[in-house]
Amino acid sequence: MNSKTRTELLYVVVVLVVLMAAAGLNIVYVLGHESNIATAKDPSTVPAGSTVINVTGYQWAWQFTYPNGTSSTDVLWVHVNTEYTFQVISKDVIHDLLIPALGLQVYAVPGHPNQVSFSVNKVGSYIFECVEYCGEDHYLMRGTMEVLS
Amino acid sequence: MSTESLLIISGVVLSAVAILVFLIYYLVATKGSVVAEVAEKSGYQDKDVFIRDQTWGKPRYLSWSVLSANDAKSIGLRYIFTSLLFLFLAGAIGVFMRISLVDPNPTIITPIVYNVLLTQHAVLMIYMFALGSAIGLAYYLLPTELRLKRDDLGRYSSFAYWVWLLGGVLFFISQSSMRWYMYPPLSLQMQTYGAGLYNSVGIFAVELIFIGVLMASIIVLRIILIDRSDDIPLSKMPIFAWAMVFTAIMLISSALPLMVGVAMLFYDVFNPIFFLKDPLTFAVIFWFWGHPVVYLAVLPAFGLMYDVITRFTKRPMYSYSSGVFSLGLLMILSELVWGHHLLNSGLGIDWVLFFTTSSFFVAIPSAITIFNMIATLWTAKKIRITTPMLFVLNAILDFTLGGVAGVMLANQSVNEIAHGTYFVTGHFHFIFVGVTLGVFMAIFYLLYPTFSHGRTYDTRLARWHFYFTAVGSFLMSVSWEVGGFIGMPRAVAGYFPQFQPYQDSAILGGVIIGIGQLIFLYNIAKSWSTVPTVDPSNILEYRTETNDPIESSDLGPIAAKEEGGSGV
Amino acid sequence: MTFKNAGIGFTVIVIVVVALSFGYIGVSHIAASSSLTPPPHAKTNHTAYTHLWADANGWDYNHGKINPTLYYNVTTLVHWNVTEEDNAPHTLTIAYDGAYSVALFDKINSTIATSPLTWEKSPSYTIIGTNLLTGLNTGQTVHATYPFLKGGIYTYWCTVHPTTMFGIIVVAG
Repeated sequence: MNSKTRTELLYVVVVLVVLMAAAGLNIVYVLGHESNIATAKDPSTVPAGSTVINVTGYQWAWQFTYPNGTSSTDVLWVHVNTEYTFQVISKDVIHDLLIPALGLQVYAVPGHPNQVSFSVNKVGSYIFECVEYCGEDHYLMRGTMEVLS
Repeated sequence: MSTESLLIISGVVLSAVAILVFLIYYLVATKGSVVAEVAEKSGYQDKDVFIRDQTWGKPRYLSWSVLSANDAKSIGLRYIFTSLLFLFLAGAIGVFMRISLVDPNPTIITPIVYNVLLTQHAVLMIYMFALGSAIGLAYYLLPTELRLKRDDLGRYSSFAYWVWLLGGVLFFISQSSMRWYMYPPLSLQMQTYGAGLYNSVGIFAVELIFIGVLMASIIVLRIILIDRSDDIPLSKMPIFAWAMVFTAIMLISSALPLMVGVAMLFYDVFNPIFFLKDPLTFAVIFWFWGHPVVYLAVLPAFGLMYDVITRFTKRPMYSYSSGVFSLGLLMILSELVWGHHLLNSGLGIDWVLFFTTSSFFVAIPSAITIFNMIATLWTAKKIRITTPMLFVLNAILDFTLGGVAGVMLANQSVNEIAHGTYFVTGHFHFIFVGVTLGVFMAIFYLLYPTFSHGRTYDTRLARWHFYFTAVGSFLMSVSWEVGGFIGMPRAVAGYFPQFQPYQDSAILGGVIIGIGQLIFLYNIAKSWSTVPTVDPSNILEYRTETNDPIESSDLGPIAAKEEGGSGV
Repeated sequence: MTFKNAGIGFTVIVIVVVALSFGYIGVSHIAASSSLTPPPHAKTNHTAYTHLWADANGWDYNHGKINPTLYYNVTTLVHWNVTEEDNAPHTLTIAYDGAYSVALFDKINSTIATSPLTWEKSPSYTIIGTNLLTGLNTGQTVHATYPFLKGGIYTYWCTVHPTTMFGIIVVAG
């Protein structure tokens, strides 16, 4: 083994170690947060005690329907430190709901409901938006999440 | 405008276009028959074979005859300059889109036009510029680098070129606004607010482009593997030839599923039976092609980067075998990560784990490639800093920055924040502007004396072109990555006002890139009108083995010119 | 500097193609932006109900004012009820003539009776077509909705009887 090969192997090993460490951290995160990752809707996997909010995406607005039957468009009302579960569906084309402050992202696909759980630990007002291009007024498919105490 | 006057005006315009096309055809056909006569007198039956033998081994320059001649070099010149034309069109669209985002609300263009431009920018850049320039450089460089035994697929290559060009033009005319993802049901909404009134034409045009690039890549594969000279074994091939082998295999293997998918989508326009019920199926098929295609844009560039580095450092590649190996590994691994474009669509936890983990490992071959390049530079005694070399050095930097952002996105936790935001746009614009565009420009400058039949480009203007491109792309992509990480969504005609600083600095970067390309265009026009002064051969074509030491006299006229700093 | 010089030729082609392409997108966008096709799920803030009687002699020929001028607020979802009166086929078609100004309104109002075809230009949008108002269903009422999302002056007419059945719609705001 000449010095060239040795240098190269050393480099590959270092890269491998860094990437495997990163991949391992990622696996640990994913396995600990299954309910926080968008999955196909399944009532049996909704965490116990979680409030279900039905989310409907359509060209070009988000509608949130709460358990008591009321609904709001382009504004989401939630309470702090409460576990919520979104069940997300689209009426027309594919949308993608992103709440950047929570790192919560879920596709709204017609005929394929998804669900994702979250809770907020800080009172305030945060933005959400559609991040999958969906036609003319895609950029207006956005709103604010109001977190109440 | 009333229907009658519209009909009259369009009739007159169409007649004028038809007359012009016929005139061009007449001129080409006349020239062709003259050549055919000369060929017959020299004992040739086929004029294309005659042209090829006449131009064999000589530096091939750009002239109008490349449109009628069917030898590999003419096809290459057609592809290179057509893709350059589309680069300017799609680039102008990109800069225009940037400028329109100067205010949080739509300014100079309506959201509908913004969406049309968004779609056209992506499709023209990827299919017409990135793929077209890679195929063009393969057709242009490989016949001399591999000293082809035969070149008898010219007519098929020509057909592939025209179909590809027709697809690109039709796609632009269709004014499609479906975005290059083509996700149904949006792509089936034939309305201006959806995918555009004529999106069926757009879907058909994509299929035409696929037919063209698929044919061309099969021919490129044959050129490399079967037609190359017997005295060049696979282990001595230039690394660019290896890069094109992997590019072609990847294109052929991943394009076919989507070609079927696009055909089904086209059927859905008239009778929606396939994708309307489960649009995610199409998304999966799309990304099975859509992820490899972004590697198709960088693999040929990697091969060319090695070639440029070895020529300007006068060193062989640090490790030829690991260079080839990492390109091959990149091909295999990049076909296994397509799902990371759909991580939040409800694929299921198992698939999320699979695709995030494989996305980490696709970084290994990229890292080896970059290591190889840096090691070659490191071990060089002297590096000639010419304009092509500057572009390649910048490509290494930009690929590292963009690649690190890509590895970050492989984390599910980061992906949930940044997927669909400008962070992703910044990640791939670092790579596309830095590597795909930058390396194309480096090769274009190296080949300029050959293209222009012995003229040299203005070195000072070329330097300015480089500085503007490098600074502009860095500013633009960094602004996007920072803005995207705090949630600035991409593909939007307007945005929340708190994102304005990031948008404004990206606009500045975009405009700087645009000015740089204008300098480049002016440089072409200006230096092409000078008197030819230098030997029109170039340092890329005549030598085959990248892994052999290079004599100092092997460097071509450009290097000599730049070293003297005289320019033209 | 001749046309035989491929570099100059290429530069000229780049400039011409880019300019023509932008012209193409721009011109077709002007045509497309005036399209009256309503978007799905258009957000409207008001609702209005309008009943018209379709008669070849004029809208509402036997029911009050003939060819009435209609007034709505912007973002109004108008529920149209159109009753077929004679045995002829009809359509309810609208076109946008421009932003509201007194001068434009006076101009249309004073000339629409003498030369209605001036204001019935493309692009137009047919809210109810002849497939519904066939002339076979005399006395029946057809229902359709249309959201007015842009303020300004519109004209409405019947494409089968454009010189007798016409009127003005004013959308305020």
